[in-house]
Order: sequence, then structure tokens, then C-alpha cells
Amino acid sequence: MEIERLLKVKKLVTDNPVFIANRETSLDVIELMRFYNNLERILVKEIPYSEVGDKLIFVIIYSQKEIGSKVGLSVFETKRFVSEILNGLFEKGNVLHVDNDGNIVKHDEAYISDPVEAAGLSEKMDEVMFFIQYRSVYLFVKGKFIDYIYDILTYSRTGVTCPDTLPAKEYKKLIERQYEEVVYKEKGIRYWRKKAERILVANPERHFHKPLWSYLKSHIVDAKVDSGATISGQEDRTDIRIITFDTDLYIIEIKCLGNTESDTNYSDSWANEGLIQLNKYLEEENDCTLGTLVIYDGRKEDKDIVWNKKIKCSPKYDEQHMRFYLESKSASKEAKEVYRKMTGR
Amino acid sequence: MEVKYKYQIIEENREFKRLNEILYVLYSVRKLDLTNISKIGVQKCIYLCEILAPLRKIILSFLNFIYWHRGPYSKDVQNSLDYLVSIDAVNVESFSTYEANSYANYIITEAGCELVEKLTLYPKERDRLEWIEIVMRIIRAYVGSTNLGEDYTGIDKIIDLVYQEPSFKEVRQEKTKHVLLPVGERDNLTMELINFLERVEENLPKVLDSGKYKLNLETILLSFFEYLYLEYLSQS
Repeated sequence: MEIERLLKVKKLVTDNPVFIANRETSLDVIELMRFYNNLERILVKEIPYSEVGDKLIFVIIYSQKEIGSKVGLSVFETKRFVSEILNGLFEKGNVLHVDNDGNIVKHDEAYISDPVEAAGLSEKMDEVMFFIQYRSVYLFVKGKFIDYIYDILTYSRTGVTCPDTLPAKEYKKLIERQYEEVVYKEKGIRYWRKKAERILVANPERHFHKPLWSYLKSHIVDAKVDSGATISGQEDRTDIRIITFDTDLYIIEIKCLGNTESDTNYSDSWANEGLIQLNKYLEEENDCTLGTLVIYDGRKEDKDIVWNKKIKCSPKYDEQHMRFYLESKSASKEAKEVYRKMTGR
Repeated sequence: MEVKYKYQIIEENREFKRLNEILYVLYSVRKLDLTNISKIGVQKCIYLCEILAPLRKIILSFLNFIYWHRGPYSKDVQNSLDYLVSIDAVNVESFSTYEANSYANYIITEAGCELVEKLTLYPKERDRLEWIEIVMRIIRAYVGSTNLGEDYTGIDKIIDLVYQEPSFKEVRQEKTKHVLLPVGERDNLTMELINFLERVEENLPKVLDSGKYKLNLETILLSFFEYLYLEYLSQS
């Protein structure tokens, strides 16, 4: 069989979110796929995002159990569903229990406003849960994070090969591209709390990790890309692994520097901790080919990191770490400064 | 018995089996609450059931699919549909218009359903119905997918995935119309892909827990359809 076909098949078997969710549950996988495909179509093609705006934050708890009662509304009946949202459907609560055909069978009064809360709620149940926050979609099963799409309108389904996809060994190019396309433009990602003062949100790494993972997953053609991190950031597993279908394994450790809204100052020492952490992973993981440290730098000044020379680095450590200085000036302000420097005025 | 009569009996037998298979497709359509299946959709559903049948070690009866301008085509499908309409086992429910042509949408009648229920008292027929039902459920899972079959309605949308089917695609790339498609064979590109999926866990990196990736019949079929869908999205 031709190599391209083999890679595509391996990728879909290992990375397709429905297959991953299926391994965690005893659901009818064909029905789960039907639901997933329908939901994806609705979110991509039918929701008028400009109309619903930030009112589109809700949880779908997908169940295959027979429940007699129905609310009389289906999430797949898009026009009516959107009009109900605009009329305050989620004012009392935004947790919807939904059957195979998208019918809302129960509407809880609880209000879930972020993915951490959604993960917590999912821990208590056996069902598949979708947390939809504007154009981002999170998928959980029993509290376990399964998938994240940072922007449903721009993402490619896992395994789709397009001109943008690259082989795994070129993952650093993809990290740079993701910075330019997503992080720099703050597309579907919000890491500043007070941009002008360069104050980051609390636990900022969490905001960089999932979008990067999601981007790599859909842009690497010949590898499984998995994420060890928990959504709550509680556990010490913040790495991304790229496992090629040959033999290579790459580990990416993400760190974010700067001041946060919770008054934590992540400085050089935090980057050095990341270096130690990554080297620990590299020592433990015999099959690893290379480990790269990716730093999103939100500090006031754009300056190099002072590395502690006492840290012993593994030969598998990629000394060309990647540091991205997070811009906080608007394009027009930046243009004014450049022009002032050019003209000397 | 003279040879010509023996041949006639075999042919009649095959004809009955073909009628049964069309009835099973339309029976599943009704059972699954699906809508709008024209002769285009019936051709494509039967083709998928046939080309994948060796996976379940089932032999179905439409083996004369050729590459025609709308994809895989068997003249026997249309003949059988016409016959089923003439005996009131199937009705014309509505019409769909594609590219300025009108196509009848078929629906199984109560009499047709009763016929299926009687036929499936025979274990071999029950096996065939079960197989067709699994494939039809997967077709249902995909007809609602993003960007699929935008020029078509209902089950007919599956046409976009059938165009990506490896055995058909191979013949299509050669651009030779009227060529017989390798339906029912075990060594075509479709079965090569299916055989790979049956032991996919052996071909994954050691770092992954291979036991977790072993696929069963349903997940093999779903992976196959997902592959068709990914091919379709990659091209479009």
C-alpha cells in the first residue's frame, strides 16, 4: 500500500477524537460518530457567530441512554436553537443533556463558564461531554481531556492533508507558524489580562499549550501528536509528544514568562525549571529523539534568558530553544514607533 | 436436467437474491429514519455493501459494477428497482433534481417490509440484512458531515465518499469507462486497506499501547469511511 495512505490510516486510528473517546466508554461508536459529524457540521456551517457572539458558551452532555422526557428543542435545529440562545436560553443554566438526534432531553440549571469547570463536571459522569466556547470546542470523557479545537472555522479534521501540513521532523517550523498565525494575532487565544501593562492571565501556560497541541495535531501528517497535560494544569505533565509512525519521538515543553494577574512573576528561574523538567523527561524516555523548550515571553523587556550553567542537559536536548516575545503593542502604535525611528521625529 | 434449464434456475436464483439485497437497503433506510434515496443513492449503497462484503465473509449478488459517469454502476440495480416497484414492494416517494435531471426517491412499502421479515427467517438472509444494516448505519453517520454532497440530498450525499473508494478510484484514474470493478474480490485495493486495518495495532510505534488500538468490525468499517472522508476533504 502506498505510504501516504498508510500514514493517513495510522493517523486517523490514533488521533481521531471519536476513536479516543470510544476507548474510554462503552458507547455505540457508530452513533457517536454520527453525533460528532452532525455537531461539527452545525458548528462549522450553520451557527451565525456574529449574531450569537459571546452568548455561545454551553455544555453538551451526549448520552445514548433512553430518556423519556424531551425539552422540545434540538441543537441540530439550528435556526430555532440560535433564536432560543438569543432569547436567553442559557440564563438559568447552560448544561444540556442531548440524545443521538440532538434533542435536548434535560436542561440543568448549572452554569459552566470555562473548560476547567467543564472538566470537573465531566469527572462525575460516564457520558461524552462537549464544552463549546464561541468557536472553540473541548471534548471530555470522565474528566479526561480528549480533544481541543481552538477555532472550529479554521481547523482541519485530523488526518486531512492540505498544503499546510508538514512531516513531524519539521515541527519547529510549525511552532513558528502557529506563533505567527495564532499566538501573535491572538486568534482564539487570550493570554493578556491587561495588555498595555503586560499582565498575563493566571496560569498562562495552559492558554498556550492546547492551541499549540491542536495546531500540531492537525498539521503534522506522519505522527500521532498527544498531550500529557491536564486541562486544569494540576498535574505535572505539561508536555506535547510527537510520535512518528517510524521511530522518532519528540517532546515539547512549554513555559511562559512574565507577570500574571495573580501576582506571580515567572522569570528566568521558571525557564530554568522548564529546562530541568524537560531534561528529566528526556532521561526517562529512552526512545526520545529530541526535546525542545518553547518559551512564550511576556516579560516587560525583550531580553535573552539567563540560563543556569550548572544544569546538566541531555544529549537529546535541542539547544536551539524557541523563545517568542509576546507583543503587547497594537499594529498602529508599532507602526508609529517605526516611523518615528525612521524619520527621527 | 438440460444445461440451459440449470443455467436458468441459477440466474433466477441470483435475480431473487439481488431483489432481496435492494429490499434490505430500503428496509434499513426506513428503519433508520433516513430520507431521499434515489437510484444514485441505491447504486452507491449497494456498491459499498458489496465491495466491503469480504470483510464479513459474505458474498452478495451484484458483482457486475462498472465505472460509469456517475461512479460505480450496475444495470441490475435499476432493473431490480423497477421490478420491486411493479410488485408494490417499493414505491416512488418523491423526486430529487440534480443537474437539471429528476430522480425518483424510493421507499419500501408495508408489503416490502413484511417480505423482508419473512425472508430473514433464513439465517443466511438474516446475515445479509445484518451486514447491510451495519453499512447503512455508517453511511447515516457520514451523510451529515461537513461539506459532504452539497449538490445532493439525503442518502444520495454518500456519492462523494464513493468517489474516494480505493478500488473505484484506481479504475477511475485510468479513465476507462465500462471497466468491470473488482467487486467481491479479496485482493483489490479496498481489501488491502481493510486487511491493514484489521492488524493496524501491529504497525504502530512501540511507545503506544498497541492493545488499545485493536479495531473490531464496527471500528474497522468506521476507519475505512473516515479514510474516504479525509481523502475527500484533502482534495476539496
